[in-house]
Amino acid sequence: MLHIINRIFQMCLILALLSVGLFGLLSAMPGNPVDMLVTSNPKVKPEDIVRLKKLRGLDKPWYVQYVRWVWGYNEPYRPVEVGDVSLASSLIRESRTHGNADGERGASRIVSLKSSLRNPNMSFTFSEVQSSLEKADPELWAKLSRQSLQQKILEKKRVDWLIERISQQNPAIYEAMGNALKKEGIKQIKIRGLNDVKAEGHVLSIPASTAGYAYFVAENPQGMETVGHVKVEGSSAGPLHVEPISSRIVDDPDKFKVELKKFISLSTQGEGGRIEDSSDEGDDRWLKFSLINSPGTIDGEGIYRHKFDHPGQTAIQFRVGDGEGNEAFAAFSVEHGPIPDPTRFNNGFLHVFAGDTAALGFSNTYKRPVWDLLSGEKIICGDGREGPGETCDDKNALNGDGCSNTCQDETLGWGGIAGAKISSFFVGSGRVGNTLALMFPAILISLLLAIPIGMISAYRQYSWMDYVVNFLAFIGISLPVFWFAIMMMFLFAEQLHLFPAGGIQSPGIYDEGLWAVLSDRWYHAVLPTVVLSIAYTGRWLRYMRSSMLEVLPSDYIRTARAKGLSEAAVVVKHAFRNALIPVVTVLTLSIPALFGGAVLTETVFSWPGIGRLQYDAVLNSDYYVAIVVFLISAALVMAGNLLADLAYVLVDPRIRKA
Amino acid sequence: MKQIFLISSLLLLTSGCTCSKSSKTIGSSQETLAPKDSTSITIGISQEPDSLFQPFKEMMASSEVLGLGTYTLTQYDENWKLVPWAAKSIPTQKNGGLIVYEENGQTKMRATWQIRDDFFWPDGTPLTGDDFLLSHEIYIDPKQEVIDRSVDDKIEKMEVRGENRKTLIVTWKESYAYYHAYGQHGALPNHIIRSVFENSPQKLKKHAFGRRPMLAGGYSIEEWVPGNYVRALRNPKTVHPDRNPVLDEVIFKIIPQTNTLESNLVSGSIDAISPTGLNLDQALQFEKRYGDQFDFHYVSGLLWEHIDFNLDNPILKDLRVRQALAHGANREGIANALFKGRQPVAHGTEPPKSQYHNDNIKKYPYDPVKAGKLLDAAGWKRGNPSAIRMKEGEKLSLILMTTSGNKTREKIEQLLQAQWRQLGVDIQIQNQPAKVFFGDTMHRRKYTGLAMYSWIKDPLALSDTLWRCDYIPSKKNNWMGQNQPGWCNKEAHNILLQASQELDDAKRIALGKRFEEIWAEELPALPLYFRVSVSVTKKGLKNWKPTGMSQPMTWNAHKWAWAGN
Repeated sequence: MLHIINRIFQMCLILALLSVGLFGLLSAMPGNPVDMLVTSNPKVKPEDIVRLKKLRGLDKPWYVQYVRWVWGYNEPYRPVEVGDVSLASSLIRESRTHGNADGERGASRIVSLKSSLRNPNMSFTFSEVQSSLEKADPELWAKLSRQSLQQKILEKKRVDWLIERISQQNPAIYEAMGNALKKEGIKQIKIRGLNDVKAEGHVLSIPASTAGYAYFVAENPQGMETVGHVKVEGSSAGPLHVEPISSRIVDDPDKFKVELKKFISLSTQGEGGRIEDSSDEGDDRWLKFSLINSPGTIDGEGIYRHKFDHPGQTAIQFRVGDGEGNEAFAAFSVEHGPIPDPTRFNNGFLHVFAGDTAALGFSNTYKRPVWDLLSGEKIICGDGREGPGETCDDKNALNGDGCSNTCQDETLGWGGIAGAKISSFFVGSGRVGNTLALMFPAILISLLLAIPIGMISAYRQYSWMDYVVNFLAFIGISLPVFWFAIMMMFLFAEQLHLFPAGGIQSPGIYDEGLWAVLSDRWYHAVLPTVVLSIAYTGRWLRYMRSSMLEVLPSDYIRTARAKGLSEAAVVVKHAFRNALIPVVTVLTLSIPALFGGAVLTETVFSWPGIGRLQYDAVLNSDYYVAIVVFLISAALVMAGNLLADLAYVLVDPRIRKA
Repeated sequence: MKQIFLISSLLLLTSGCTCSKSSKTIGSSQETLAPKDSTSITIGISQEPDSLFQPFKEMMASSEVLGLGTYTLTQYDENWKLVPWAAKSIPTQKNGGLIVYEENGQTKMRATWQIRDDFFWPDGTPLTGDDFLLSHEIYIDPKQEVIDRSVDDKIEKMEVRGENRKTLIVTWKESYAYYHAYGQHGALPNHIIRSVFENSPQKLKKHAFGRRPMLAGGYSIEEWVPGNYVRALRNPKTVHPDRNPVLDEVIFKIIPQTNTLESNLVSGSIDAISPTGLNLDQALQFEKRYGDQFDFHYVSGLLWEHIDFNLDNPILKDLRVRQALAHGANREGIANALFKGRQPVAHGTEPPKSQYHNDNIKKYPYDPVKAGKLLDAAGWKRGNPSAIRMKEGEKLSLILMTTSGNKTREKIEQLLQAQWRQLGVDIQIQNQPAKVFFGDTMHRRKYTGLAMYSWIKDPLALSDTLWRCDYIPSKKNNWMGQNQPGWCNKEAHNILLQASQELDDAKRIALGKRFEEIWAEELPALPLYFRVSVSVTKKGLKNWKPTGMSQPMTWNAHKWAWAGN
């Protein structure tokens, strides 16, 4: 027992070291997939490469990538280099400034927000929408209730569908409802103050030192944010309107620069007059910028610079004048970060053992989670439940939502759903499943053939049968698998049309039921299985034969015969059991092949298994797939070794005693 | 023992017979050359699509599959002409759809597109401007892993107007000659994807839509079994008579191996091999064996095979040496020997079908005598007729690189090496795996002499990133651009700058033709040929019209039909 624990501990250690080594090697390979984009698409620019590397986490040194892959990381919720600067005042429709409280300039209650936090109604509960509609248009509600499809939608509580139906049937009601709902929606928006402004619920506390405007961040339930401000002194001028055109924070390793000129297109509502759009390079030299109570500097070119020393978000307020007495105020917010979001921890590889399958990573070549690639895809049905075998609202209702035909109609009944589950297990099986479906029968057939034939051939050494078997075994061993596979395909598919020329199943077979699926899968598996079996049989047959040949002349066999045992008992009980010992080693070491697949056979027969996946992953620098498959194979090799040791105990009494 | 042997061999050999009885026959010998089902077509592709979510796809195979449901505003036809598709017409200055105006000294333009009334998503929702707007928003969102944003970056804003939301107004930050090719980014179903985009943008790339997208064109995706096939069915809501598909079903079978692709076609499991399946060499071999049973479609394409001269190399900096190498290479002979004349020699950078193609440029026919004279004039002299040429004690020796494992390129290399050796030029071949060659050597401009590879050209635009002075990759510009030879010609540079903003077709074409003249005169690279793309179909398939370029061959899938349909 101690031995086994010791071995498992060693295995883990070796795997850990192996993973570091492999990760380093894979990262050191030239031809980073993102860099390769430049050489394949002339339109891709260096800034795109920088952006993509950041998004895929490839901008970090390899050991940081490794730690992130193994353990995980807090995701920065907004990349540093491009944060759209939102200018705020247009968001405020109405705000009231209250009188002085102790040490405070004023408190402001935010009454309504014109929303650039788009689509707040998506977060309403079904009952809210339902009651609001019932009040607004009882007739329409009744009509919707009567229609079976709609009824079905309602049962599933699909708010967005309901809203869509209403908008089709009665646009006016939809509009009215929308407004009512939006009013409700403001309650769901969270407010937090910026700079020294504090927010409690929707009331802002503004310190006495604040001049002009107080800034806050509004966040909707979906986590979308925008910056708003309230005017804190005077009220006659009304809110200032500043429309952002395209403004972004320019990436600079040390400083954040904001090109103010680019986003000033203002029309003041008050008496301040009008300042023309200054996005034109030539005419704006006369514009003067000055900061109000904000850190940093604005230079003559209208570029804001400041080095922030802490992560966060700061509102910057400034004044712009045209030298002729016209002035306007404007503001933008700067996000300085990156700001790790503790709520968005991306789990690393180790979390797989805690049941988080997404932690295996995402394949950039196949644009799928690695887990899905290996184990088969989860099918998300129209009602949000995960298939296969689950039910769908309507097969064609929401084509494109990822719901495939494998989601069955409820009318199928219990038996139908069970059948569908079995067949969708085959249809949607992942790479591991596909490889097992190919390798397991191949290995089993080879064993069933190799062991008895090997035994007999050794028993009848130098008989004509032994010669024939040996001859065939050598052919099996020495035939290059890919050539043999191509020949088999040429003969059985191209010439005789008996079997399909590769592939794993016929398109659309799923609709034809369970038996069609099973026989179709079998029909596709025959040729590759035969090719693999012949190769394996040849090898194992030779092992079995030579092992038997070593045992048969032994003294104990002679003794057994001398005891008067029947010939069958001598061969099976005494010779075979002893001959098995070396064969067991070979067998257990072929366990990894069971999962590892056979690259050449899989490629020739277009069989989507692990072998082909691994080959493509290494070629395409799809690191996460490559390393996961590598580690699985390594773990299996070691597990195979352990299993071999344990099997010796079973077959060899000498070891058991020792 | 005999029995056991017999049983085992029978087991091995007869397993086939039992299965063939119990399973359905996919193609019996008599019907090999007829489609399995006259309402469907199965196409073999060698690549598996990566994602069918338009903004995130990278592979040509994905474009081929998505092309089935084409609903872009415009698209190219087989003659590389841009035609309106989901748009009623292409806005131009002439028809009033395009307005060019000055705003604060900057030329801007506004294009107004009217979207057709007869395009619907398969659930019956009409295609509107909002669908295009969403696609644009995803392209410019910095959080999305969109690769090529070069067109969307030029758009100042996009608005949707009209009661039916069918009017799309695109305002461009600058005068942009290729504004009408905006069709390259298709629409996405706003009614499905908008909420995902807004609620959880980080999940968009991983959304199941990428595996079973809804398309508004003739076909929509029904099923994708990874590693195996993608199946598309007729979009039931297609009402436009010209766009209504003839066939009900299109299946793409994913077959990575060329031999298997061919076996599938011969055995009748597929009806066609897509242009991504076979290269010219393989197609010519296949045609030799089965030429009478299938239709072979050779279409000249946009892939320009060439050899870059590194102009930082003092030997190659001398125009006479470059011209001598061009005259000393029997490109005509190589093309005839290797490609049976299917891939004619290129003389410039623009393929014959391109509007910028210019036949009156300086050409470099095979002329070893002239080549020798040019080298003599450049100071590279040889002592005896078989020696390597020398100049000031230095040998005329150059390194030629390409991607290893590419048989065609390796053959060309050997032929060129022998031909140039006769001129007295020593060529050292140093090939690298594609990953190293493109990912490191070319990306960082590490090659010292000659490099053979290909570029895919844009059918409308001149290749400015290939030849502009500011696109010579260097550490200083963060390896930006693809001007690998390091060629900088003022006039050519200005032409390229000017052309991308020239809205007048005739003027732009004149600029393009002039560029070709300068280029051929200066010869910063040795043009070899434009690759043809080959596809194979069963006889009886009508309207298979591959374009040979970035527009996938599925562009007119709705017109595909079997004889008798």
